[in-house]
Amino acid sequence: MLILRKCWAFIKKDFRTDISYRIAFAGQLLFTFFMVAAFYFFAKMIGQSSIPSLAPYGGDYFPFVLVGVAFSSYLDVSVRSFADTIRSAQVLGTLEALIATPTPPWQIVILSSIYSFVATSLRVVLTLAIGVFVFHVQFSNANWAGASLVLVLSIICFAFIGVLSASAVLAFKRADPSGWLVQGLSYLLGGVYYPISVLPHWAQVLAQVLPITHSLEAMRKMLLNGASLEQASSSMTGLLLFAIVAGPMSIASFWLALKRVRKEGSLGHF
Amino acid sequence: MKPVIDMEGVYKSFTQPRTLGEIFLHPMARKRIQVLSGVTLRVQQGTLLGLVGSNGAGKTTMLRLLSATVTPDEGVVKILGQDATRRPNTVHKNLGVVLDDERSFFWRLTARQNLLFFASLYNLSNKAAKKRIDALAQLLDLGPELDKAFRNLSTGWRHRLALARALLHDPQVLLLDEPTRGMDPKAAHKARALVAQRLVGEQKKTVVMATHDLRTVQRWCQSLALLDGGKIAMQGPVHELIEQVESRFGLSDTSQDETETEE
Repeated sequence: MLILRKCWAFIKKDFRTDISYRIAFAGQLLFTFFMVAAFYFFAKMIGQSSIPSLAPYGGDYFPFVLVGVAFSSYLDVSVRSFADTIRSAQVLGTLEALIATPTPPWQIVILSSIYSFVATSLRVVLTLAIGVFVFHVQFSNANWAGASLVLVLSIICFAFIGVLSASAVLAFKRADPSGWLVQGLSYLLGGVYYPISVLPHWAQVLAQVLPITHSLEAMRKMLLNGASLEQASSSMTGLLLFAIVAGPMSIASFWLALKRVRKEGSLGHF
Repeated sequence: MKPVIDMEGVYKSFTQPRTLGEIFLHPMARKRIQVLSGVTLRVQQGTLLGLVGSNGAGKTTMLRLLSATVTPDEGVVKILGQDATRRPNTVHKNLGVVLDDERSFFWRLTARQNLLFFASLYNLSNKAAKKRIDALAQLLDLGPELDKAFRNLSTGWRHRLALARALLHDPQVLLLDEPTRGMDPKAAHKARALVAQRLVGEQKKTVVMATHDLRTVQRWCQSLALLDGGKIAMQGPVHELIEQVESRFGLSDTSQDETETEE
């Protein structure tokens, strides 16, 4: 109950802050519409020709990229929000005041990012809703329960990358290059805008290390083809393996970073 | 009787920026500055201790060590018998801190929204938090400022709010870093009286207050500790030490006018 109350307090605080910048808040909503519309017309342009690499996903580019763009935003928010939370608390001067409360630092970092995940979820829903209601994408076969499970597993994997990135920001202050590297590689190799089958063989192998590859593969199979959990089991295994390896690494790195800044007395520095 | 605050042989140093030449000649070396050298300090329950020293003497570092946001290189810091390095979250349950950083609030929220948010981090229920905030608003005369955006508050109001935040969870121990800086003389007097008479005198809380203002120490504190050269040069009852401190170290009274006004 206590953690839920704190979680609600963070969401309220961040929502109030967000809506206090009204133009930026409205701009985000408009941007979502423009982005979906841009992909719709791009898909319309290439839609005349048959693309073999899209066949496993129903053959139509627009639903393929809609799912890719919508769910890759979870990667963006995971990689950035934890580190951004630390960075903005350092710059605003609130980090030391937050750490001086009885709430453990790991809870503060996670709870500080909750609003970003809630806002991203709303944006994903909005993206899909624009696709369905404005541009008539069909999700009639979708396995929503399976997709929700993939989503939870994906967020956990992405969050571990985010905590690694946050640890680097906590310790070294400036934005963490590893976060940008993972994000860049994920967009290049993870199958957000195109199927990974169009990549060279070595890049397809490298893509298997990235959680977004497995996440989007499973998500598309479930939302576009209505695949069962069993049919998406290889992608689910990929996500699980990533979580098992990255989880302890991210927790250890955060603990070491916190120990370092306490030792150096640089909690309030930026 | 066991001391509420117990620092034993604490050393603390920080890394210093290096010149390009130093980095080139010794890329892996670190330049460090020693801030505290074997500090031992014990404070009993119900004491208001004035921590004095010149700029850069290490007062803020000492408060950060006591608040468990910084760990010592050597030595032990205990608050209410709990090791601050090993159990910082336990220590924070009974500790209120007023930092020297007036930015430590969320600027887009009102003062009340800020206090409600921090109250949840101090494990207060919403109902208890609202009640406590109303009580603190009365105690610290926060009045209508409570519903103004934090960014619109003056420095003095921000410090009052910082004091209110430190008292949200009714802690046993308070660490105050120049708590009345920026307050008008009346508000500063009221805040000092609140700390000395109500919190320490009646409620027997233990308070360490870092300040440059010797008159404040003389008027309100029972004991003082003087930091000099990274060590506690003197510690004891104010009435025994105040003259020695003034003459030996020539510490300036930076808020003479303010003190005279309030008296």
